[in-house]
Amino acid sequence: MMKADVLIIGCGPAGSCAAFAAKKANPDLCVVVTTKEAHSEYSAPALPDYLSGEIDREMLFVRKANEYKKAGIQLLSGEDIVKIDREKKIAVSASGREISYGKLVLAMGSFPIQLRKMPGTNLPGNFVTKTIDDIEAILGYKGKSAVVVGSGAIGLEGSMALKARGYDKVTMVEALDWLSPKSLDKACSDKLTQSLNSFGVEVLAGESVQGVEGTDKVTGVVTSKRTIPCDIILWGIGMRPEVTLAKDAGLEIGELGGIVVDERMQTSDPDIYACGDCVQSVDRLTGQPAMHLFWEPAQRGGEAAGLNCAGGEAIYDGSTAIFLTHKGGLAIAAFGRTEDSYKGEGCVVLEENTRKSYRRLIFEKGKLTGAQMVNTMEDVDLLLDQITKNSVVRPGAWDLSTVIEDLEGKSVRDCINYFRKERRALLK
Amino acid sequence: MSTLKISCGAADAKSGILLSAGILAGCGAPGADVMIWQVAGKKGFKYYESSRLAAAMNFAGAGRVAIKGKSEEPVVIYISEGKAVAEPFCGSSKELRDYYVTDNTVVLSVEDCGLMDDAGNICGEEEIAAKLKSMNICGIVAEGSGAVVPADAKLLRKTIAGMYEALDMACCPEIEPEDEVYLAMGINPKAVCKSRKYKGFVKKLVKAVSGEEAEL
Amino acid sequence: MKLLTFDQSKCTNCGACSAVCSLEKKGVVQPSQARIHIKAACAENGEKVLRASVCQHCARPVCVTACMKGIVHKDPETGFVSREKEGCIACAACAVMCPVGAAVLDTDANAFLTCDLCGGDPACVKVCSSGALSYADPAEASAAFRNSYALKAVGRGLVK
Repeated sequence: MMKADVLIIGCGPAGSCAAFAAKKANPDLCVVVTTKEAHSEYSAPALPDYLSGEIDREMLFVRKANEYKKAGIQLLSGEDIVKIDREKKIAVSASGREISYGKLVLAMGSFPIQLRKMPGTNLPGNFVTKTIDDIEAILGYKGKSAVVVGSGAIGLEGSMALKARGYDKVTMVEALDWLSPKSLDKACSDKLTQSLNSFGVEVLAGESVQGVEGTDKVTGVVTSKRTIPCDIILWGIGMRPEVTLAKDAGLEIGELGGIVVDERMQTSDPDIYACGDCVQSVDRLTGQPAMHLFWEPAQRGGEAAGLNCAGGEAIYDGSTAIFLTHKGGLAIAAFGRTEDSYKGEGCVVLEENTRKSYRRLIFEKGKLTGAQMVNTMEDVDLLLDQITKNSVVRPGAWDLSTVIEDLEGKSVRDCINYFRKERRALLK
Repeated sequence: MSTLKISCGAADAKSGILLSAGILAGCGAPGADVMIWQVAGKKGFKYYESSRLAAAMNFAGAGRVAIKGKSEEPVVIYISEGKAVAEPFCGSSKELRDYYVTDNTVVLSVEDCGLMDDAGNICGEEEIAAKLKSMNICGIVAEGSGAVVPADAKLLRKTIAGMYEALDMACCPEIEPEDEVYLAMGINPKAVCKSRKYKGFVKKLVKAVSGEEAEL
Repeated sequence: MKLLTFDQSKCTNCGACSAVCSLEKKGVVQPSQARIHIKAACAENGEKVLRASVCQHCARPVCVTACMKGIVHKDPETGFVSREKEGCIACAACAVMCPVGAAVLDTDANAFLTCDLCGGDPACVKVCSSGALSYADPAEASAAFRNSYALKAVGRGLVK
């Protein structure tokens, strides 16, 4: 039976970073990484660029197989771990292989939600964009018109990519009242819609998908308002953490569905760590439990998990959710609270419409708590810095918040000027 | 009925206003941001110095913009990507700035005393402001994210480095208020100019930027 | 490791650094594409505050973990933060998360780039005629700044 000092399940950014961090901290450790895919670490965020044709397959990879070999890390691809025996400390794969571990790192990531019970969603022509194989399936399918379901990063980038790929008609359908309402206010969503329209993407909000038409393949989508003929459907309606392995092994799963870990990435089992999309952690702005299915938390959390497995001491203090899409001329960033989240109480909103861009700032009691911007990334460093400093997550920490006493008659640029003036850090 | 006419390039400036940036504006040499305004009048042209609009115009690919006639509605002259157009704009100077300012854009609003930039600096004089107002122009904007492409980048680098070396402001002497203008252009009036080659620098700059010999 | 240090009390916002950076790196004068920008903020009393936006080669660089292609690296010995020539997908994660906004979208490379200190001989420092920019060890520069500040406070030194 194979023996690993550190066994890591999953080779995305979290698992891969954990592996390299563990090996670097203690080169004598036997570090093994398993992945059910055939590939070494690649960038899922780069998949839309592969779909659009801007990059080729080679460009997707972050770490090639030979890099693992060079670092002395064993990469077992095509190996799907299906069971963990915590007592014996053995992991078992679908092919029947058994690997014993000293420390285990769970980095299984997430999977896209697909409405399997809705009729027609299993027909050829239904696609997601999670893996390289998913993209290649789309590329191998003849299509001219698409419906993209969902308006998060996947939906936005998927739409842009299909347009760039040559699809004549791309229609984005969003069930909620406007695009990504958890991250954007309606005014910002309207600007985003205008931008999408200018790239030839049609946007339908407040319209939910009820069914998929077709007999032997997809021919259309039925929404609450109309039927849209199409060749393919790209589903971008959300991701769920992949925790089956952890659940079956009896590890604690949090109320948001992710594996519970402490600030050292340790699960309810002292020999098992977890990182990446599959864990529940903390939102830096609110101090509340949160799921952050993004690249940066995965890498940083993975590094911490790997280091701690190797006997180090690394803390992962949560993450700030940043809504960001920057592709082919479409640019949108948003973080912090939305105006909508205040439900009409206690916030002041400043908007800025310039010749080319749109920004909005949300204030509570004179402190910046949210920012959204379309077609510009100017001053984003100041805004993110302000919003972070204004959050009250760490009791006892210095109050670094900046208050703008009187917002009456002030413009967004006035506030940014003030933030830049007030920012004391980095004085050499 | 609007009679406003705007043209770029080697323009006719017999009447109206010619905004002329000069070939060295924006080339990176000390003081290379200023420009000469020409206002047509009965006795010929009057010259004014300006702000970074000159550099921005060259980055925008339109270093000479001639405007004559009068607009029916208030407009902003928007200079970008080799073109200058009149865009209708209704609002205060602050609103003008909020609408047009970006990191790379120079925005001048027409005030009574002259033209005001984003930082509150005034350039030009009452006369030019009055002239622009009479044409119903409330602002001039140049979108400066483009480039000044020198004929000889190596020579330009060398010349600029030489010029800054000659200025040598290693220690900051006391600055008078009017000197602040020179300071803003990168020239310390009190500094000892270590080299007599300064005149020669201008010839080299012209050669580096345009590829042609200067007649000085 | 030596870094670009900025003394805002000496900066005249002349723009030489940005002009020369672009000339050095791209062969054209295009300050919008420079890897150093001086940003000004005005106080109500007219006082100007100037900030340099340029890569600080942070001790714990967010860009390294933010990069969705893993092409940003921090040299463990020198501390220098570098980017691979190929591979950037212009996702803007580094630009959004950089605490000083130092990442610039270069239109020729179609990649986000940062100050690479010109290989040890920064062009901007050579043309900064007021001495606001220098290439120095940050601890030494900080000590020098604090020293001159203290001298001013007790009424000595050259600058009022």
